Amino acid sequence: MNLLELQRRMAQDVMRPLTSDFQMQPATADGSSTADLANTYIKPNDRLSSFERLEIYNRQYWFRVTGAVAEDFPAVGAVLGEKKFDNLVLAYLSENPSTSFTLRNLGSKLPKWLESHPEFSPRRHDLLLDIARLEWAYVEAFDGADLLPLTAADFGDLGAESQLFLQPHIQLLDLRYPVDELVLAVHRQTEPSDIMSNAVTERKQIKRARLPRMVRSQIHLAVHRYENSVYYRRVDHEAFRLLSALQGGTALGPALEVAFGESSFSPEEQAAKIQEYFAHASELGWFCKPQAG
Amino acid sequence: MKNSAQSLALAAAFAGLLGGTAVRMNAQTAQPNNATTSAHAGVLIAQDAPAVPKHSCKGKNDCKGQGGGKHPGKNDCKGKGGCATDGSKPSLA
Amino acid sequence: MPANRFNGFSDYGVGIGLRVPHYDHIFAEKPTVDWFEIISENYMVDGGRALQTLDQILDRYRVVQHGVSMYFGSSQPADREHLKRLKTLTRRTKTPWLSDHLCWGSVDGRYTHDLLPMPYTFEAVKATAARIREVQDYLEIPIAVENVSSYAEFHESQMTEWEFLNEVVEAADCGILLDVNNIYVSSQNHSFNPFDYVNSVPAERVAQIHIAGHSKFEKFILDTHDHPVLDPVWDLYARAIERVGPTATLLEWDDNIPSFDEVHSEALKATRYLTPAQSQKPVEEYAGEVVHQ
Repeated sequence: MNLLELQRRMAQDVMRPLTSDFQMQPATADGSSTADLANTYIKPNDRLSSFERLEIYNRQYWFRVTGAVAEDFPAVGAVLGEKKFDNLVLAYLSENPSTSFTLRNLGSKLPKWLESHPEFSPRRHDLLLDIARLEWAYVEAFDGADLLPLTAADFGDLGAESQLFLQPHIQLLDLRYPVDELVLAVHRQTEPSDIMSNAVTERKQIKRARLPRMVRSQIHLAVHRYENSVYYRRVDHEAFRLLSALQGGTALGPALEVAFGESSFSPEEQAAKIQEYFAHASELGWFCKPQAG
Repeated sequence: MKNSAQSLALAAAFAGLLGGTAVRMNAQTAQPNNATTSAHAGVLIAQDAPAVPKHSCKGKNDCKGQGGGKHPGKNDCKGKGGCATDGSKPSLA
Repeated sequence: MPANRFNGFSDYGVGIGLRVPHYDHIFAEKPTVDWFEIISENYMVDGGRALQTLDQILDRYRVVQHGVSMYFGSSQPADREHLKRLKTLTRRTKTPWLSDHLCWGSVDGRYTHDLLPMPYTFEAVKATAARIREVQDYLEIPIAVENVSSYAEFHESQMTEWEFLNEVVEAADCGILLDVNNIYVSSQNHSFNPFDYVNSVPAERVAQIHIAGHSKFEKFILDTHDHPVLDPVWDLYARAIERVGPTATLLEWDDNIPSFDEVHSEALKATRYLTPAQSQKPVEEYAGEVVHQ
């Protein structure tokens, strides 16, 4: 067995899902004995069999990756409950093993993946999707790039064909439920961090009865970073359409048309809203020069 | 959008950009790198729900210790999550 | 001996790992710490609080980068995005040397996020040394490779772990981050004399030393970094210092993290070995035999 073959063999064994009581599977999907497989490349010692030595790595792998994903989606966990959430995370990771050098990216595909997996909570699937999207938006806003904001000098030749670039950390969400309230409630109910205690990194279980009741009601959120703290800012429908168009690369004039294309506001009312949107956005430094490269 | 309406909209955008930028620049000049800058942003920030700082200092890759055999089902990979703030916690939290 | 080309001819003393629960204390109390070790991957982001915090630390303290996912022993090419981000970070921290592990952890673009043991083969020596050279050339700073704790051994191995380490660092012409806790853990798991290991490493290549706590189970020992350093590890440390001279030393404490003062005090216990060593001549060696002064 050469180096690559050994690494492929071991990676496959280490990343194989555990049994329900967190042991290494006795057999592979095709019925092969994992003990026999382990024997082919791992030495036993006087205390542990090849299977048991491999199992240490198998268990470590799953504890580590499930913990990393669970940490990024506490509100999904609070709504689902521990057992269903564990199943969801395990299923997600089984289909989406890490393809990045950093654990930071491990949950990135979960919102999209969840779209095609309503089985974890069929009745609340849309709600869960919204929560997952918001929780991942938080991660993106938390450490996305923050470029130099535009200054008054940059607006000199602004026209209908001008492009305005949004800060990379800004995440725009069109949600069916006011899940910002729920996510914040989950955070508030999480015990305050005791920095000297392990308790801070144990998974907190939120009693579902204490979470706000969610009634379907569309909201638009800008999840963004200001002075290195992440904020959830609700924006109205037109502002959302405007910002989304600008974020997608649409020039200013067409973006304004997209924003108000379906509205019944008078031109004066539109102008007042537009002025307010741009004032707020530029006050927060949301417009920037395009990212190099 | 008719030409006149588009002109009005562009003028409004321009006015907003200049006005907002001026507020931001003034706030920075008055209180450089100060957490109270958020208060100068006025109602805009107050309307925002600050995401609590639980995740604010996570270091996901801190997982150096290999505690995989200790607590089945629990995350033994510490150094992630729970942290105090570094002083820039939003004052309107 | 402490200042050598593998640690940028620096003269660092006792440091601790920079960990989130200690941020408040560090910024409020500004304790005197010789240096901090950071986990590189936590700061290989585009923006946000992690980088802001790092910059604050860099204003006051010396920082050395330690990575957890370079996987020098993985048999496939390094991730260019990883390398690019790592180089950007080294420019920020001005780390005099950079360390990562003598292990593998990814294959075919999938990451286990674990420090998996190498088969100690000549094929692995060649591949690993080539990878280290490639990374060292790209980053343009000295690299030190760290021996890992392991729980499995391979039938394929053709030499001992310390022979493998020596072959790799000679072929790569790189430094060693000697983790004496890892040596102890592996010695108990694989039934070898840990002093044989310490006595065999090329002293002139040791750039840094790691100390840490571990956890003993019925049939094996785990490298948990959740305890003070145990006596057998201090004994190995004493022997290592005797051989290599006073060397940059870092305490790793990653789980059940106590107060800053407790961690720092534990680390500073190393000075009882370092201080006497500073007044002694380096241990001379002849034909591989250790000569006590």
